[in-house]
Amino acid sequence: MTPETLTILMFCGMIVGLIAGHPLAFVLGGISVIFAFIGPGPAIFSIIVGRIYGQMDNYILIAVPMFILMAQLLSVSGVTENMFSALRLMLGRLRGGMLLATIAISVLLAATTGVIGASMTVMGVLALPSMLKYGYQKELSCGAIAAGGSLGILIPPSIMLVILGSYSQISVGQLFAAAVIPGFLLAGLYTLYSLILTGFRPDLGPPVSEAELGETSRSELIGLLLRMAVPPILLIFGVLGSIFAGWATTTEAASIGAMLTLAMVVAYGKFSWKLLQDSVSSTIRTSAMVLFVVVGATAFTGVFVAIGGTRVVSGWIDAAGLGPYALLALMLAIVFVLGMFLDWLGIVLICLPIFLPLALDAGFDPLWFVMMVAIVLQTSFLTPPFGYALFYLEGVAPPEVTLMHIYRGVLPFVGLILLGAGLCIAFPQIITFLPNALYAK
Amino acid sequence: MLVKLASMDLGAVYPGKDLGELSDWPKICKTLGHMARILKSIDGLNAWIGRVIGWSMVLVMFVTVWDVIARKFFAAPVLWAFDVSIQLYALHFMLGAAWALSTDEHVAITIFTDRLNVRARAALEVVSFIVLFFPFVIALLYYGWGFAARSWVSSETSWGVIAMPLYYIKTVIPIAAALLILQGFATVTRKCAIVFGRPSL
Repeated sequence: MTPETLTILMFCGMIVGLIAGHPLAFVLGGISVIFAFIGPGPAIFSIIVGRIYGQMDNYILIAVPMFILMAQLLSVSGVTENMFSALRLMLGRLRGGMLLATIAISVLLAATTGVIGASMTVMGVLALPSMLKYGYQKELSCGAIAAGGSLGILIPPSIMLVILGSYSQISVGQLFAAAVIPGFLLAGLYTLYSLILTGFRPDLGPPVSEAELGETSRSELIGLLLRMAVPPILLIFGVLGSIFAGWATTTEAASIGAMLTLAMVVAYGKFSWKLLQDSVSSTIRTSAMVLFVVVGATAFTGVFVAIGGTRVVSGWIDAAGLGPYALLALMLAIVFVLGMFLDWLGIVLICLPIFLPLALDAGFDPLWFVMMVAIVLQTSFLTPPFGYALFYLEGVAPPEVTLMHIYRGVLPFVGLILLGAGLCIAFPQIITFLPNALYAK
Repeated sequence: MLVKLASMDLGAVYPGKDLGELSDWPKICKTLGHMARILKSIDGLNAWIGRVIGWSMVLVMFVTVWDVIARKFFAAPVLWAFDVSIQLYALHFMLGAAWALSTDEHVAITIFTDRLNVRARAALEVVSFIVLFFPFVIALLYYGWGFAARSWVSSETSWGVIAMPLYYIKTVIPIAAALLILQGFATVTRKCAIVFGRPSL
């Protein structure tokens, strides 16, 4: 068989396996074994096992389970719940105030943890019912929670950026720095959108009643906010600060963060051995899931390169004769479309080994290109039919909120992400300014 | 208890038949009872391994923080911290994979299969396991075994400041593969039971 046929068949095999509902990690692994037999012969697996061991021997990737552990501990500390109740009253006088509170807390949590889900679950359980009680529009509320929660994986620290760094040979610190301004840009766009929309249509997000605001005095409120917001903010400066200052590696910073979070759990009086065992248990299951996709993708990429797949794909690209920006648009469009069906992990691990060399050939800055992919990947959490944020939110939302409300609610936010990505193409400094300032070349 | 459950289901498989007429039914029940117990032990084994090995990340956390403090404030780095952290991390995710499989943690696209009925979905899963899952984990076991064996023969050690033996951690690859094969066997057996209308396994 020609490399072209093998390449097409390998992609088709992967798609069939995924549609059949088999776990991504084992679809990638299984397809690699089948095509190892068809193509280069099974002996290639002795090389692939060596590469898999390379992922076990990868110091950077230790940060992945460590950030997951930290997020688990943070979610049991109860800090999010309290932060929301304080911020809700603080911003209560504003139209759409609870939307702002939701986005603000999402950003705060995003800068503390490296995963999504933590803030989404809490916001779905806590913020959504109280927004609905005040007559906030279902679609808008769901959209803000889902889009805000998804920022968790863009704003550093982020396990996605750790894996992107480990794959692209860019330092994780630089990627973290590059993601800060785009992350805040998206949060700013979400805030602006909520403010403008509720400004014109106050019925979509009315202010909290004076009676309820009167129940808590201003000083009490500030006290509560300080007690609940200061420790996470210290955590953010501790973790990100030590990485950006070059004081600690990502893995070290993640360990320090996890330790401080554990201290926070103890300080808030939430500690118990059962709770710690539960956190430890869900950490190992989640990390094994994430890292086994890395294992499967390692096998897949190994065989894909061996059958000549990368050469075939770059041959097609050359034949198409695309200019650099047309190529960029094509690659980002593929990431966007795949995001409707796959999660970030699969997209990163399948596309990056193919896309990154093409982007380098086209003369793009690797750091900027990887960050563009990361920004567009934000849509993969939100685009129907398959998006993590949608399912997280549906799982915890009150019954009167249907999946259709959520679908309709996230669409404007998907548009805002694409707008943000467009801004980063027009003004690359949004991405490159901070890493250049911090890590002078 | 399980034997009892297994025999109760038999009526569903052979509707309208007097179970006494089936001369081999006590044998079937006994086999199914054994099977249910075996599958339960596989779940239990992988859950137990996961719960215990999960703590290795807590160890990494303490070792790393200790190393950072010792290095920054006392200029006395913990020489083995780097190698030990890496090996604990490898142990952590490799040995956790089978538990993640048994609790359905592995990410998959289910929007298409959700439309199928329970038996068709189970049948499809059995096929995917045979075509995709088992070839991969068996390849991992076979080539991982050779990979680890070469390391044992040469008594391979790490390149770090201290020469940590690497053959133990390389042996984790075939062990993880074996645990996944066990868990995959349990899953496939249960799906087969659903296909044949006996979901109680």
